[in-house]
Amino acid sequence: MFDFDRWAEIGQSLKQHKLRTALTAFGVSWGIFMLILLLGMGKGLERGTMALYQDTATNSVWINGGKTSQDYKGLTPGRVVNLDIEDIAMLARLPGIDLIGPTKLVNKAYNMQYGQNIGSFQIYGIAAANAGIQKLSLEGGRQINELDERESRKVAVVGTRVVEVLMKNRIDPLGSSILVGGIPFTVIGVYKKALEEQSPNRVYIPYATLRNVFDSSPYINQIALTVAPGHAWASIRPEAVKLLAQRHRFDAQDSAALEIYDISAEVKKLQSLMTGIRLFMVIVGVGTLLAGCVGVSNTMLVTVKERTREFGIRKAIGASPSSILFMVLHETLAITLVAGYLGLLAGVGVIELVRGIGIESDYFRDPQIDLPIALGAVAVLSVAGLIAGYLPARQAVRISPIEALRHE
Amino acid sequence: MCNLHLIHENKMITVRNLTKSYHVGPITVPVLKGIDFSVEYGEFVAIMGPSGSGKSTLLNVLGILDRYDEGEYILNGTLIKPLSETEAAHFRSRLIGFVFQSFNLLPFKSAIDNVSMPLYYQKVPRRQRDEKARRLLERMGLADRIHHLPTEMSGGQRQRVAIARALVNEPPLILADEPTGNLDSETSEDVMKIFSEINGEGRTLVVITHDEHIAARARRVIRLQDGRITNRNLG
Ligand SMILES: Nc1ncnc2c1ncn2[C@@H]1O[C@H](COP(=O)(O)OP(=O)(O)OP(=O)(O)O)[C@@H](O)[C@H]1O
Ligand SMILES: [Mg+2]
Repeated sequence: MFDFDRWAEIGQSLKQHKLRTALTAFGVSWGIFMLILLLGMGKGLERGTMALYQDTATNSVWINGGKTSQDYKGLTPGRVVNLDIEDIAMLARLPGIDLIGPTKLVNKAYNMQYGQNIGSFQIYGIAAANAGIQKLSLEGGRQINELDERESRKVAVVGTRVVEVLMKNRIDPLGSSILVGGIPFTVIGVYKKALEEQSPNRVYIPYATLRNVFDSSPYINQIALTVAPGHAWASIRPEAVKLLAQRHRFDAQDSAALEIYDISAEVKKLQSLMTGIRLFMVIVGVGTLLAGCVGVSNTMLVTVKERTREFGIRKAIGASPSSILFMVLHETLAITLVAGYLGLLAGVGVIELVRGIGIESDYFRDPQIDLPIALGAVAVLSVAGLIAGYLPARQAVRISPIEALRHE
Repeated sequence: MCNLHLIHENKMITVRNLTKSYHVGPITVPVLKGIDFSVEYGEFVAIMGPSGSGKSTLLNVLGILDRYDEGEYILNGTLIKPLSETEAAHFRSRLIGFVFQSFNLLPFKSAIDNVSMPLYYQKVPRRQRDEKARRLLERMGLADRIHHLPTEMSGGQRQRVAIARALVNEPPLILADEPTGNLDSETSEDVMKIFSEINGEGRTLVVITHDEHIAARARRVIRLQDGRITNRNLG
């Protein structure tokens, strides 16, 4: 219930100590501001980091050939392990592997041309399966599919940078023909620049086409695969490494012979890091808030002491202990809630500002405070206000009217 | 209000063998040493006595602002023994109006807000509170000072505000501790006229004073010396 009289009383007594009220309120505002800011920025950090993996299936594993570091059956260390297309077929037979495909980079730089415009870009050959492993987010068109691969079609999925350089962003690239090393390719898809370092400079063509047209060697740069649901890479890995070790003749224990990136493990690590960071931010934010509340509590204690005579008078004319208790609690709660609300507004304002300016980097994007967090902050604040007010309120109640009236 | 002893006693105040001591560190200072007296409904009683004789101590006990040690204090038929603060507040609010020597107005509240405050604690709606406070202030001759702060008023005006505050919840008993102690003789006379008037309305009045002139207005004087009543013939 909105008790106008009580609010009038509160307003009157807070007005008596404007500066002190303002300073105390600032402590709480700052606390909640920091809490909101930290949580919002934490969200931004989380989103930014998770965005690093947005194009990559989180259950994917990437295998590159390395350099042996151990003797193996009389072979000296330091040999380069060259993965080839046969490895794909071999690993595909392992249970628990869902999609699998090669990535092959054309070593030689080919000029690409559209009309008068020429540029040099990286050309990758991938299989249809790769579309499900590295999910390029397409701006338009489609991914490379089975048919493109089977028929070695001369089709390409290009990055936005390619469209920019070759077509000056003036023509719809889809369906148009570009020359790659003098050979015409039809653009079937354009992918978005997701991240700075995930280059928009790439051109993806079917692996089969790449071998037919540019490089017939069986070697590939990378094996990309996803683990089928219900399976874990940890249990597939020993068998996969054993098979590769036999074929390429290195020791299965030689950890340098293969470079294996298990994205799910990376994501898990990051997620627990994020949880840690979030926890840390909550602790720091709540700590700051609590410090603010201790400030309020302290100020109110001093205020109550100074107002001993006032409370004595109020009691002498019939104020009940509960009315005194609620008066002080109300005052404290009013300070914390109003101050907290201002802090909340400021925090959300700053976060919206950051969003508005569009400050974004690889590890930070789109900070936000969601409703549950805001409501949680309000709840924390109310509880903190009540705790902050309780001690001073008890103090005020304990004042005996006669002692208080003697007090000067 | 539980565990109160209702006693059939047709008096505003009955005090029997009442004692009270103060404790100053390890020392016990007896201040009231067995007080017996009673006050009828509608009576006007003055309490006189030398400084330090225990007048204020007695009045504070009567006003339930302080506790007593032994004996009995029966107020309006209710035995006042150690009460919870809530019960004490209830009696102070319903039965007693207190006027202090040093006024004890809240300095940041205007005259009307000071006067209406006891009604706030009785949960009377604002409009009614203000109306009543205004009428009382007008009656005290302060119609043009209603929105003044205590610091903007003279001693006599402040005491009249304090009296209005003591009257606002229409208590049957008014207690005043040297209400004219800080006022000059002319203003004292005005204030005492008001007290006589209040008494004329049927309210019971107990006033501490050093001034024989003022005591002369009372129907009866209780003289206190060293914690005892010396003129027991009138008790
Ligand atoms: N809080 C206290 N602690 C200890 N002693 C006290 C306290 N209050 C009063 N006394 C003592 O009790 C005695 C009576 O005090 P009281 O104030 O009742 O006197 P009084 O008759 O009102 O005097 P005055 O006319 O000066 O106001 C005094 O000796 C005083 O020193
Ligand atoms: Mg006195």
